[in-house]
Amino acid sequence: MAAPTRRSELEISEDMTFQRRSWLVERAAWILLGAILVAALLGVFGGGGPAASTDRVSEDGNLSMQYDRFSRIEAPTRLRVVVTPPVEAGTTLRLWLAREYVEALEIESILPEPSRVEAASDRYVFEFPLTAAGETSTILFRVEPREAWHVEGRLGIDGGSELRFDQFVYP
Amino acid sequence: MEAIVHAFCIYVFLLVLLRIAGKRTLGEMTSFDFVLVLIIAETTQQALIGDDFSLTGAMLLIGTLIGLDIALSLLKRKWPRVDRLVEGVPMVIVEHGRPLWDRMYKARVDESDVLSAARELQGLRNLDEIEYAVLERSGSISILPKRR
Repeated sequence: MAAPTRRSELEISEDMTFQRRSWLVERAAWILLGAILVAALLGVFGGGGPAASTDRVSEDGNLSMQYDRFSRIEAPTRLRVVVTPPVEAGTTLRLWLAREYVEALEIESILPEPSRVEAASDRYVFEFPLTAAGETSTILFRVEPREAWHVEGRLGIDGGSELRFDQFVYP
Repeated sequence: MEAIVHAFCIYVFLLVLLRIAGKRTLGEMTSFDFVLVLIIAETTQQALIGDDFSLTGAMLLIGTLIGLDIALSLLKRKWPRVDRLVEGVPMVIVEHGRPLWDRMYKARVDESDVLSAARELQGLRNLDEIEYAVLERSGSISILPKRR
């Protein structure tokens, strides 16, 4: 305990040097807090926002996806996959997701519902019926991450193009 | 982003609502007011958290609310008009032992409130012993006794 310097009639352990230092730290922390909140508004910490979502397009342009680069554990996020399957594939679309990626999250729903799901050693293949061959369609995956930190995903059209993407999941 | 926007909306909404409810509503808490605060907290929680149960989400939410509080205090320091708008102004309700009835009526304070504050704070027996009673910005009543 620092001995009271001034106001000796008061039994008070005043220490203005310490007080000034804590004010300084306080102000610095306010600025930091402000910066964090601005970053969070932009979506750097997930939960939506301009910086959170991004997209990927395959080289041949047949496969593209929109996903959240930053998301939070157990908070819903979405994968929006737009595909133009090759005409020779007929009226079924076979879309696959890497097994490791699927294991890192919980698939809440898929729109449209796949008519069949196959499990291969390293991937899950989802089969979707299409109305016409070669038509562009959009598949929506509503997922909840179950593993935090860095998650690497891969998806593609069976026998066609493939996309790699990285997601950062905050705990 | 969403959580921060929600927190901001709730903060501003509660600020406005509690201000228009008047000082007496939560200034002197009765047991029912306490229950009311709990219910408000419970209702607000749904809108703030939604289905995001992550640690990051919770921390950002708390950070936003504390940050808004700091920002508001800085605004109040910079512009006294903001301070007046948010916190209101103190008001004399008893002058030289004489209650100012119209003010007390509008502020929803009655003689028994003043007397109870006089007994608790100063150990006074009746209105005659009060020089001034002031309804403070916080909603509490402060008592200045007459000089003997």
